[in-house]
Amino acid sequence: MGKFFTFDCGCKFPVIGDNENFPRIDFSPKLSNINLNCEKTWDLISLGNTKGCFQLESRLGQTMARKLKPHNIEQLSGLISILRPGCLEAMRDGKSVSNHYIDKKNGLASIDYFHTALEPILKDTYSEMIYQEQAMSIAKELAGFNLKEADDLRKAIGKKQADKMAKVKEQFIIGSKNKGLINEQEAEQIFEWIEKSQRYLFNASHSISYAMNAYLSAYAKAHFPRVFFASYLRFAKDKIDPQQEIKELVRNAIEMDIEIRIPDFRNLNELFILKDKKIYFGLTDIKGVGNSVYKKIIDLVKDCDVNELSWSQTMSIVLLNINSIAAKAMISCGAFDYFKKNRSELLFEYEICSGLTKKELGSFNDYISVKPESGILDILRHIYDNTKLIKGRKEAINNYIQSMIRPPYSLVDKIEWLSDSENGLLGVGITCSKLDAYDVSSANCNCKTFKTSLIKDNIILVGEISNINITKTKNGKNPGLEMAFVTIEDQFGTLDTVVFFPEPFSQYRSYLFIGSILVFSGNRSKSKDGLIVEKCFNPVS
Amino acid sequence: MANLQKICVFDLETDGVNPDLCSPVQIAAVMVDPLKLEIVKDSEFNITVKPLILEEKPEYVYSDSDVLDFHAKVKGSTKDQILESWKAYQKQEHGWNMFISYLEMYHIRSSGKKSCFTAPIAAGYNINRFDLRIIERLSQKYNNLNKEGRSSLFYPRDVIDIMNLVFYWFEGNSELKNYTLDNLRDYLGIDKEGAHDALKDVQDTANILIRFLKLHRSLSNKIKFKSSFIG
Repeated sequence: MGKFFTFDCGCKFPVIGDNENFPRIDFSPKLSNINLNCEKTWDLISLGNTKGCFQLESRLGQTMARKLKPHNIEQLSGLISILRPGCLEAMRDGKSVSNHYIDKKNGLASIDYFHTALEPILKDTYSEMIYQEQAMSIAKELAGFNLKEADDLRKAIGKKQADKMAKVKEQFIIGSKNKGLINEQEAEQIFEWIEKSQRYLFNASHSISYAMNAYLSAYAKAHFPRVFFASYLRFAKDKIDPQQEIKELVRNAIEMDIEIRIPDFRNLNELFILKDKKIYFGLTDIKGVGNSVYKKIIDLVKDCDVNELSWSQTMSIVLLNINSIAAKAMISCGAFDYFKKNRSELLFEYEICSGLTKKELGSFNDYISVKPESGILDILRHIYDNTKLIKGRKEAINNYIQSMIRPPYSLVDKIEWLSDSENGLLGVGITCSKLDAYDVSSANCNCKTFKTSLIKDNIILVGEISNINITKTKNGKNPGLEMAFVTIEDQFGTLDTVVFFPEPFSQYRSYLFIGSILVFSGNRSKSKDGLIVEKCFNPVS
Repeated sequence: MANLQKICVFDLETDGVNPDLCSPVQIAAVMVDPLKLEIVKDSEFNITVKPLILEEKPEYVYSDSDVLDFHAKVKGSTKDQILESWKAYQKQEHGWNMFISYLEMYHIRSSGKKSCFTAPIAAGYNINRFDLRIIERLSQKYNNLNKEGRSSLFYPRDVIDIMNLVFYWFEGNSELKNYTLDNLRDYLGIDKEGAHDALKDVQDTANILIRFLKLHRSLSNKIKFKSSFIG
């Protein structure tokens, strides 16, 4: 009997090998034996923590998952179906079929059937028609359609074929009349209802299989979040906007207390890796460092142990032999932070060294082969004193030395620069956030704790605006007025439901632009997942 | 619209008065944060640069000694001392490269790609007629150009010449005799100690710019511009 690793939720996985301190878990679940009642997984889905989960990773998917709170495969299948345009766009009583389904599932609206004859067909979906099969069953049950005719109905609606539609409608009404369960007027109404909502509906068989896959990915995320994120991050490059994908995944991982690290040159990893329970960016995950540069780097260091290289050796062996965009990008995003020097300083020294001639570099290499730990300044002095140089170059080396001794600008790393560089080169700021340059002590929660805390009123949050969606009010005192949904970020996560209703929006609209860092004060929304802003102002730096 | 671009207030001290011929002997700059409207901490840049003519001909004798006179007066030294100090300055190319590296630190990087459109906005005193012409010439020389073949050092759309702002605000003011920085310093009550050192000049200019921008913003919020031409 093999050993098993058991999670708090009761899910068990076979352990590979004998190392008790570091059990390696065999995660190769089959849909046939996966635990479909794992509370940990359902909780993750119900919290809307579905970034990276099949079919549910969009912002809409996350929001709807949070609203619906599915707890079994049928409900998850329903969720996947109501995310489709058919249910989202089919309106009844001023509300979409998707929202009817959510409210009925959560007991916020009563479950009524258009006709009692529909109950057996729509019972599992809280009286809402969300699958194509349901429309076909209705036609079968009420109008006596055979399977072929029911399929013709599906095709006619799906393909918007007016002539065929008219024919099927007539057939439906005559069939209903013959069957006698509903009268002609009811038949017309039901047909219209089918017509409206069926246009883009999903079929149940497809939706159930999607739900199984969605569950499987959520299951992996709930039990093995580090492996899940490391794997997803590796494939972020295949997305339309890789940097945005990386940003969202990293933010989500941080919210789940997973440590994400900037690239470390010593790892020499091409792509994201999981090492010592931390996820490290790969070298090619840095913008400006492509596959060819990566291959060149591997080739350049093939005969040495990068862990043993000094800064000067790294400069000579690697940085001065690859293109300057890649070299600067690696320095700027912190790949050489292990040398315990400011990135600005490393960058400055790189700029100086990249001005050296071939002959001077030869002298550089000779010197570090004898004194590998030497600093750049010492090496430049050696070149100046011991290399036969023409007058102009002698003067140039002297200039470099003078600039090293007295740099023309500060080489202290500024928070804003660090954050901007990482955002630009990695897609997300890891080491610090622009907010670190401000006094945020007045805040009583952050983007992460807002989602988990119970504070309702007088919430104070500090964040950087990353997106603004200006819309017009539909209801309320003054319909048609402008309001805004704002997404903010801090180093702990993202909050996409910061709401400015018309009055505060008109008062603070000049503050609202992407990149603006603000203190937001207000109260939690009725739905609990948003912040209704009353005031906002600039934080003190 | 909000400006997120850093504003680089810079100044060149030169070895002549003709912007198409002279060389910088000092390049200085500071950055202004456009949101906080303050000088960015530790953002000073200052480098002394050997005039090109002295790189090529170390024994060159300046025929127009007015410039040397001016520098000697400002520094409180003799013309010969000025000339000797210039000879010891860093090579132009090195000084220029240092300035480029400095400016790169203040690009907006969140957008990913770095180009002149992520570069800081150029600002300074009388830069339109003088300093920017030298910048353009040196950009051509050292090949720091954008796709259109123009200098890529600064944001191409905007330039803030504080001398223009001064003109707008004081054109009807008889107390301000002319628009030189020295005269403005006197008028506004700014200490002139160290004036004409490029770093002191950019710090003063940046502080004046910040005052004006603050004034503009406070007024802008109170003025109803929208549809104001109607009716």
